Amino acid sequence: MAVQLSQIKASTLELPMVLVDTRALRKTVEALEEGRFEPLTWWQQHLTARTIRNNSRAQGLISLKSLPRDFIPYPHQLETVHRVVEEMHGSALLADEVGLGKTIEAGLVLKEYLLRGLVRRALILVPASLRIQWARELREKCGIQATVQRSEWEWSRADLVIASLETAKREPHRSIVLEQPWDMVIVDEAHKLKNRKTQNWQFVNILPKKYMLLLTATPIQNDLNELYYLVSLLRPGYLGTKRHFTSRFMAGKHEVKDAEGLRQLLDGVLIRNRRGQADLLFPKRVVHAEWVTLSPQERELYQTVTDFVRRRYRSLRSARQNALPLIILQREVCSSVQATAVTLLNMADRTEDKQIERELRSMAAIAARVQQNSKIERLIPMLQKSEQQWVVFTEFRTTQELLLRRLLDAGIPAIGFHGELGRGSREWVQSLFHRRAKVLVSTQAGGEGINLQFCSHAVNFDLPWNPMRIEQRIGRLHRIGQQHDVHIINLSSVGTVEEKILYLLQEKIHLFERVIGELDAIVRQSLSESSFEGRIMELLAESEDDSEFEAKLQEIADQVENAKQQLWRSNPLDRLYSQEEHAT
Amino acid sequence: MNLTDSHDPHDPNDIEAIRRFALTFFRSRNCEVQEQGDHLLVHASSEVVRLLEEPWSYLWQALSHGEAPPRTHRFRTRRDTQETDEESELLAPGGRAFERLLDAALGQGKVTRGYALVSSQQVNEQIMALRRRATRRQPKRYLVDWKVVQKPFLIVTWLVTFICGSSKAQDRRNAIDLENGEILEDATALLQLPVVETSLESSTIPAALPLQEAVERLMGEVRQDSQPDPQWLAAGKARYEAALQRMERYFLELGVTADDPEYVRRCEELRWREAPRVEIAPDTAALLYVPYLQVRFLQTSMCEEIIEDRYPLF
Repeated sequence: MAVQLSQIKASTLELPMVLVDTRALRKTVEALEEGRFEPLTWWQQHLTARTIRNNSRAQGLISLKSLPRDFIPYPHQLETVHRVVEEMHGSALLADEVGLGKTIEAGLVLKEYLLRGLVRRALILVPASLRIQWARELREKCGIQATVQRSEWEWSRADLVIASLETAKREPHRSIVLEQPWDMVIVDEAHKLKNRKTQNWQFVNILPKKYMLLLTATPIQNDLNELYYLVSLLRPGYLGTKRHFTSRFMAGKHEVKDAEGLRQLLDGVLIRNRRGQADLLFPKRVVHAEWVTLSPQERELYQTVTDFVRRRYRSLRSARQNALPLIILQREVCSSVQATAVTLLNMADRTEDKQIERELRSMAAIAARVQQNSKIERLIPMLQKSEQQWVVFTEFRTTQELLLRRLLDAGIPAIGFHGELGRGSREWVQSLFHRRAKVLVSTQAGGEGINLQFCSHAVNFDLPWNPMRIEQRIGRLHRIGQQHDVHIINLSSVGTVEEKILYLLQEKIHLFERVIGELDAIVRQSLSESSFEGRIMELLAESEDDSEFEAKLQEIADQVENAKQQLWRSNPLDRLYSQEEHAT
Repeated sequence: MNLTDSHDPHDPNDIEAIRRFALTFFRSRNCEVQEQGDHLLVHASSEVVRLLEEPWSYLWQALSHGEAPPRTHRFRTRRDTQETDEESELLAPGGRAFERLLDAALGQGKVTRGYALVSSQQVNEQIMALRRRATRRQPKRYLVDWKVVQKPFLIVTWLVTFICGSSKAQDRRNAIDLENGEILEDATALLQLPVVETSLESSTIPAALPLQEAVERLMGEVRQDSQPDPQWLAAGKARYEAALQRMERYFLELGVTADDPEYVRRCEELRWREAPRVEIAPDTAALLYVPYLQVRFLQTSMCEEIIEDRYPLF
């Protein structure tokens, strides 16, 4: 019969208070007896080294004494590291809001434990797409050389491994990972561990470890139970039993009872730095719209394509057919004639409807007659006049290639960055831009997984209709480490759908003024991210004219505003950590 | 330089200590070092190359089946030193290179043997003093002859770590006279003696105490001296017990038993992290021969008598 927990309690508490390392003692005696003496100078250096190390370990955070010259952590990051090490003893939920540098905080905690000799082996579980970025941040900011896991043997051979949770939990890796004695486990995007019934939670729970850091900006996405299960991973029972937690702290899924009590308890395991406290860290966003007037030929093309898209979209939707190519076409016609032409011809080649094909080819013929690209004509002198480095964002590869060609023709050193580049090439292009080029022309895919905080000027050559994508673009520049105000120029053609959307995003949703990450939750709450573009397209198709379209866009603006209010009401953690803020 | 004082990376004394440590370290490992203002230019020997650039060095070895060639490293000891055209690596606690130097130094020099030096002036002064005292006492004594002998001491340095959530390490250094078993709780006086590796004196006093027993007695003394502060211990125990109880209730609700692997593992993790304890490990040991003046006196009273005695020369 199994032993009951209460039966072993007493024995567990009987601690030997003074422990002697008998193995080391035996080795010392053996070396003395066998006369295995080392040079005296080595022994003297050993004593000096021991004194230096003990002294440095005894005084505050050691990790700060050797940071790179150009890296100075922010006060909230230092405070976090101090609390994790001194008060939370290496197990904590780092729940800073997005963009406040959780990676840096985790890196410094890891470094501190490495230097104190308490951690030798660490496993860092991050989304696959962020592995390289993590390795780079750890290396450049914290001086930690971690290995990005690519093969099975690295689990046991490397001391500091960065891997994706998806890989680690899957055989054959899983068994090897679980056999390793990890001293510290760090999990980024830890909201994926909010449910104890999931494979993710169970896998992380059984990982052998002494210390653990969980990183997430959203420890509660749906209800308070998620927070309970995250904390249980770190310290089982810290928030009491599930029954106790529910009865003491939960008044429904989203409502907190005894907020003060919960806050006090969480202070021992959770750190949440809020943007409100850290806003001063960020430079301003200076947004400016450049209105471009289309040439008569461009206007003709725009109008013909838009009319076609409206008509075609209605019929496809009523037949429940895929209308995505039409959305792309409508966005392309706001970007460049070349991108539009390529899509028109591709669509014409694919369609089986002769009438539609004729229409598409006729529009392609109009595109072929367009002589100029008004946006590019506006952009080039602007870049030529400036002494700054610029990132020019476009959604489309065809537009990107056109831009690169025209910029180079105009004598502006420019390089391209897109999602098809491999990881190594991405780093190389980033470095090349940093050192040599004046302009980086980046597609949307290139907007992710690259940090450009050394550059403070960006142009949205065309606008994605999804606010999250714009946020990702700006987030490449406007992040911790940015030393200057970030200037964003939105190029928009007058009298187009792009003009209306820019009005919605800039004037109604205040997209460009929000701080990183805030929008994510709001958009998720108001309209699902994937349907944002679809919703705009529906409104465009449903509207008979521009004024009707504008009125319908106002509905979206209202929805976003409501979502913002609702989100604040329904997020117990934010309420818990921002009562003072809102009271003022 | 007293390194046991506070350590501040911007304190010039600490910076100087680090610089001196680095210089000795490199020079004792066959590196040529040039001091250039705040910078050290180190033409590293193969051994140091291996030490500082482990992956590169091993890769070289794997590809060429030979030792990695010597390389030149440029270090600085001040964080704010202005760089010229060439980047240098900062030597400071926590920095990659400096931590490697410390690791290397701590991985070596664990057991050694040395002979304390004595100058002829020290010997002569001691003899003069003994002569004066001998003639003043009743019954009178006359110094007949003398010689310098080496008396064996065992010095052990210990690493004492107090663990309770966080950990704090201290080092203790004690010594034992291997002739008579007398313990010196503080070995500082012995550690300050100038020492060499080869004995200059011919006469050595044999150790009466077996080395194992000597080490154990020193360990017993450190153990006695490292009893944790009762308040620290009580607070740590209370915290640990509370955490253990909370965890126990959590697992009870899940219906697990005490032999459940997850429960057992979690208990071990908690114990490792939070249980208050003191860990003692020997760090280094040195067999040190200390010069003593061995003298013979002729004592004249009712009858003549030869008296032998020994006096420390430090």
